[in-house]
Amino acid sequence: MSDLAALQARFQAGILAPDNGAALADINDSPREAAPVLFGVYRHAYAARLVEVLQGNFDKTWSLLGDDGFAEAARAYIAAAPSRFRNARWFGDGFAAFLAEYHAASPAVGDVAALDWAIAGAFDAADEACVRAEALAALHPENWPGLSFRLQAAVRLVPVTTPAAAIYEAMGAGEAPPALDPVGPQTVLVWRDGLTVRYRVLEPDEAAALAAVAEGQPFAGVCERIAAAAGAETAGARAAQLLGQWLESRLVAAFAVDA
Amino acid sequence: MADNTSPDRPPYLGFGLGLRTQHYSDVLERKPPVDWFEIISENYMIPGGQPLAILDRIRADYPIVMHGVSLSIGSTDPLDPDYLRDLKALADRVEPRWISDHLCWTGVGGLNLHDLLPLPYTEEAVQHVAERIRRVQDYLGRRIAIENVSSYVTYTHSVMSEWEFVSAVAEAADCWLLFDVNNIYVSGFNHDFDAETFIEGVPRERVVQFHLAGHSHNGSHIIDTHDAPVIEDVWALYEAACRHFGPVSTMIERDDNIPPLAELLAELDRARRIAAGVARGRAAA
Repeated sequence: MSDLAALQARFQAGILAPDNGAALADINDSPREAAPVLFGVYRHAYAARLVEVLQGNFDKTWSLLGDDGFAEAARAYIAAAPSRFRNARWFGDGFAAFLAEYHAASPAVGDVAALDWAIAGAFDAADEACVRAEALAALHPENWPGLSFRLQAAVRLVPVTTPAAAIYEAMGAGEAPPALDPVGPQTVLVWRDGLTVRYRVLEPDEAAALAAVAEGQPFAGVCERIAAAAGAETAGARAAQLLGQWLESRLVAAFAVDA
Repeated sequence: MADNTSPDRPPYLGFGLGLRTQHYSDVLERKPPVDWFEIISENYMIPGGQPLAILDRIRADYPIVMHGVSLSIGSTDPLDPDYLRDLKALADRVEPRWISDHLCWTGVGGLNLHDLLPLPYTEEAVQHVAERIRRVQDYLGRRIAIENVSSYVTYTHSVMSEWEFVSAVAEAADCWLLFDVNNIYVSGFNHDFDAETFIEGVPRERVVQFHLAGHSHNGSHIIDTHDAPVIEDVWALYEAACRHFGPVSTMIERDDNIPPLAELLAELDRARRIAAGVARGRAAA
């Protein structure tokens, strides 16, 4: 290892582990201050900066936990999962999963964080063209069972067990959150309409159908999922209705006809 | 070699600001009298959506300069090819007048501390950093500008002054310099050197941009917080830099405690007045 590499390894270790004092031997006192205090500027800035990054991407979770609660959880995440991302934008990638365990007794925290992260991801997801209903109307009926769709890059299906969307809404409005207790499995759909991010809680059959679409299932498979969730008699009509909504909401980026 | 007459020397752009989200609507709707904007490259190294859409609109009205914080040019980790690819893709989209980053490292061992960490001023570090700058320049197909950072520590290993280090890197890498006047003031206080000696110690022909910013004074040391107006001593240093370097594209960096745009425009006007006063003095001499 070169002298420079060894020095950088010691310096970084001293920032990541406050008990590690090896870096101090590399550092001079200044005319006015002792080396440990000066090195402490870097130690302090490291965690403070990343807490701020997480606040930016998880602002509703921050509101829910409050300043101190959020900072405590964020610092625990920073210690458990030091950044391997070149761009700080992605540092929060594991934070919702971390919070789901860290606040296991209050699953709403992990759920709201997952929604925060999904909304942040939809905000700067790739721009894509969207499929218009007219393009599908031209298809021959026999092509429909094998028809498959690709959802827009901004689309996210967020599984939750608490009223995360309502809590998110309340945090955004500065209101007291509704009860945080679990309400059973739900899926929150997050997508982008032009440059505007939107979200809504899905009915169970729509959640099952969109999950099938996201897996690349053909339309026949999507109908089967709806039938399983809502009954076979109305599955075809319901599938057509849902597809119409998805197209109108600009969820679908492309379609393919199975040859 | 890069100098004042190099055909690829970045143009003089006048007086700019760091583009911040808080000012998006003011910039789009009022088209304020700012000559150019500097963006933080990483804020736009994203797949798509509103930030890039807004940047495209602002780009239509103003020259843009890209300023990165994550190149980690001084790290002993390998250069990150994915980062360089994304940086080049953004440059292809934005067509910036130039691209800059910091003379520092941000992490090793695959980790990133997301901070601008100081380098030791050694021959080994000069050669290491210069070789990496050359590789980045080859990849991007253009010279980049490297900025002196604020620092809070000095290393026992250093064998030269910061200005000697900055100059040696710039000469060996054949790159431009982004001269941060506030950082020189901050580091000068923290390490007890004369900031004007720094100004006189770097190769004049390589300086293509000035940064101005505010900081936080903690008594025994100053922290480069970019959360306050430029202080009087830094304005005085800016005047000295204008006298020494001549006209250099100048901008104000504000990253925290962001004020209304009008306040930054007023600060920028002060920079214009100082630079104009120096130019008049030169003309009369």
